[in-house]
Amino acid sequence: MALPPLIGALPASDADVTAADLRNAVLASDAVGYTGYAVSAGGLSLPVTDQLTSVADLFSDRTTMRVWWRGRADNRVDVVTAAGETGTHRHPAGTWTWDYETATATRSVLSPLALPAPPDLLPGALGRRLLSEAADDELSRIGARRVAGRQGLGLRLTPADAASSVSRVDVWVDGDSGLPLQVEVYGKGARLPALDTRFLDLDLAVPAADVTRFRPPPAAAVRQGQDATVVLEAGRRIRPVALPPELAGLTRRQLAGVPAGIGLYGRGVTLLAVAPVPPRLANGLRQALDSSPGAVVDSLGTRVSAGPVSLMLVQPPGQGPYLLTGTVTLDALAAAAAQLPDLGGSR
Amino acid sequence: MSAVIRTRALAKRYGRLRAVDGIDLDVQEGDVYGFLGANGSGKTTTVRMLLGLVLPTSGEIDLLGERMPRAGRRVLPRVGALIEGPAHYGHLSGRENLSLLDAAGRGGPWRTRSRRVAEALDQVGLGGVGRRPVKAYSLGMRQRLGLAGALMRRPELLVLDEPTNGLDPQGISEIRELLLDLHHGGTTVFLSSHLLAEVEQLCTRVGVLDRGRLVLQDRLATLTAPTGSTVVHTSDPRPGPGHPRRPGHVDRRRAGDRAGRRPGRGQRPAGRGRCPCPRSGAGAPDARGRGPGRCRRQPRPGGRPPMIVVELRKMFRRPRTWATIAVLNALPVLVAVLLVLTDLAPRPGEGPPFLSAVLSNGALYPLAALAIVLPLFLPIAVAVVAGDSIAGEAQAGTLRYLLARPVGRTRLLVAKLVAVLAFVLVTVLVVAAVGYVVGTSLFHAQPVAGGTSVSGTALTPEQISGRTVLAIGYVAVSMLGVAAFALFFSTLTDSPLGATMGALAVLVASSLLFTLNAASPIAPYLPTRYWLAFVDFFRDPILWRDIVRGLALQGVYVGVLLAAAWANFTTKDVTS
Repeated sequence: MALPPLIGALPASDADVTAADLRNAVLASDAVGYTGYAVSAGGLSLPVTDQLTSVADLFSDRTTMRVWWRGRADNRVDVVTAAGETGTHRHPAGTWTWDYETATATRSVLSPLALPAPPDLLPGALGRRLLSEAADDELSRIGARRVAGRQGLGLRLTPADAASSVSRVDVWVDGDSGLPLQVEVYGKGARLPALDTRFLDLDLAVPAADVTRFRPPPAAAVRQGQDATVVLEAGRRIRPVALPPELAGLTRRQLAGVPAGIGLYGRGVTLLAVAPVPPRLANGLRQALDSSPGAVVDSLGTRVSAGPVSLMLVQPPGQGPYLLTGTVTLDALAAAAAQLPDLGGSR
Repeated sequence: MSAVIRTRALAKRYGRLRAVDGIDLDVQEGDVYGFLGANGSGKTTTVRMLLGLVLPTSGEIDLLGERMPRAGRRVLPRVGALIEGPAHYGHLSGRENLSLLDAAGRGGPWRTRSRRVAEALDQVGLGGVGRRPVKAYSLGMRQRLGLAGALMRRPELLVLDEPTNGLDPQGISEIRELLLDLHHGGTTVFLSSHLLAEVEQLCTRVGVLDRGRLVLQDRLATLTAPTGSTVVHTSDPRPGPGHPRRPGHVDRRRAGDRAGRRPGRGQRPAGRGRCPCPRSGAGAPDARGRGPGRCRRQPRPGGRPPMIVVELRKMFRRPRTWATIAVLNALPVLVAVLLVLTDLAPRPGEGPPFLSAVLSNGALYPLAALAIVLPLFLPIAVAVVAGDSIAGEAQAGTLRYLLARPVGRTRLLVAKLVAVLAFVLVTVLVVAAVGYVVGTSLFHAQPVAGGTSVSGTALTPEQISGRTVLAIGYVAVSMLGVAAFALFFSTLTDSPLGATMGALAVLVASSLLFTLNAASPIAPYLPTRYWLAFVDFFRDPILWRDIVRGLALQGVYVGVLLAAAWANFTTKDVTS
């Protein structure tokens, strides 16, 4: 039984490859087919609300996943629990999600905006996402280690933005395929990773097509997906406000499908979202934030940091509530809140 | 005459207490040796050392010319023993008890077992008690049964520790006559007692033990001779008219004055003490000129069933075993009845695995039944049975008789393990079978349509059947770790309850730690970590990862704990 840890502790030989080349290999790895078993451990104690428990669980729990990856648009990720599982079958037009615990098959079409889901936590998907906007001077090599019995070449991303709450992201990349084997996200001042996702088993062979295909079983309830309804509904309900082009030193960016009322700022692993939220959601969120240990309450509002993720709820007099959240420091969050036009006018 | 028991500076210390302090016993062939001493003087410890149950701290023991405890396997089959009172399996009859004891050790061929048992029972006057369980015997009857167990092998040496305890005067008299009969048949008798009168009536030589020291050892005749008497030395040792009696020969008249009414030496009555061995011709002296009618043949191990069979018989003839299995089945049956009455199955993911699916497919109820009993009831049942395995024998006192039989300690441990494994397998199969009967009779079964895997894919009926069998096997293997823990604890204590509770404490701790994220570094090594992996047989494709690890983990626990149990059990003093 001690054999796997012992093998894992064997030193891995490094390869002479630059950080930029390694990053490019990672970004090109979404076509690499494989079958794997991955586990993601999140140390983020996100405030829990009734609406977004699944997202909170995703970042604060241990998630075990079986993966069959034939390509970006043809894959299957099963989140395995002790007595059940939730399988996400991706096909070119969308996804089927099978939930054994509710005996429900949910069909969803692709949406540019979606809530985080377990497949997003796979080392491959997360590694590609986090490295996609990294500048070359933010990257460095950090040796090698053995992950899932394979040689993992270390690539470190150290965000240049002062507002970033992430101190570093370590990605361990398979030398042969460029597939990220392990991703560790560290918050500033933290000794342990706030998020650690890694393969425990990995077989770099394209799985059979019938494994990723899905047909709803006869007894299952079939539903249409309501993905991201909470956020999109909020975006539709609340009047768009003119958000400034820059907040806390982070530049605003546009993302297709995002409602105009939601502002996204930053780049790479340093991101800030400003979104109006419905009062009902805001109330639940406020209670959760107020009861969180380490919550900072002042005239600007209530703000909390859970690892590298910070949240702040502000409600200017006569205005609807806003949620500011992202991978920025609490100071950056406060600065952003102060720069919001409505808030500025209210003070 | 040769020495039957000889010890040199034999000592046993328990910490600073010297229970036996350097004694030099000398028991000669043909002796009826009285080992006298007050309670707590060290008699029983000495007897246990002679029989290899307690390991001496120092000194040497020669039993029938061979060194103990090293030669126990060769010597002990030639010795019959009654150690500190009898001990039996109360739920079995006297005949069944003797039969099991005979089968456990080197008793002789199984074909003649029932005859040997019947003869031994007749010898002690228990021939007519029938099938009454021993727990219904009186104290005196149990004492006789203990003697019968000691006599079954036609021993060359009888070691008896307080053999007349609990007997009425008539019983004492009969036992005394029986011992004299055996002595005249050539059996050397070592009688440990605190009753001077008993020793005086029976024995030819006496050793007196006082606070662990042998303060006196001599012929009884010498000790009881009037002081100042004339000692006649003669060069002619032949007995005859006018000659003193041969040393080592008991004067029957002193033991009830019945000489003349009983057959003499070498003329034992038919059916009494006659060995079934064809080589033991009546009246024929053996090669060393010892008494006639004595079987010198060592029974071959092949002539008896394996110890494992004996253990299995013991376990499955015990009402408690079946009561445990019945209780284990009660909960799944109750759940099934409640589901039928209310038609309220839990949602998938709620309650035990597979229970949600049984309303639509009753053929899955064996799995649901196993899932119901797996977290608590099944491990408790296994812990109870495995915890009882060695400690139960120790508590009942039967362990000392099994080991003096002799049953090798390793062999006994292996047999106990196999019996526990058989219990696990039978229990799991019975739960699954009852689950199937209940499921298919109370719920709507779908034998043709197959079913849906946990992953949402269709499974054929053949796949469901095959995977169910694999899952049942896996659950059985998952219980081996519990069994190994309980068996190990069972070698540490003489309390079956303590052993069971120890194993359950390990399981509760393991289950608790498994729920804590902080314990994740040790989670892969927790004995309960992979118990639920039997669900993985019903994912599609089958997730072998945890199943393989679960099997390996159970293998490691069983290996390590059995090694520890063996190391402990083979070196411990059996004082129960």
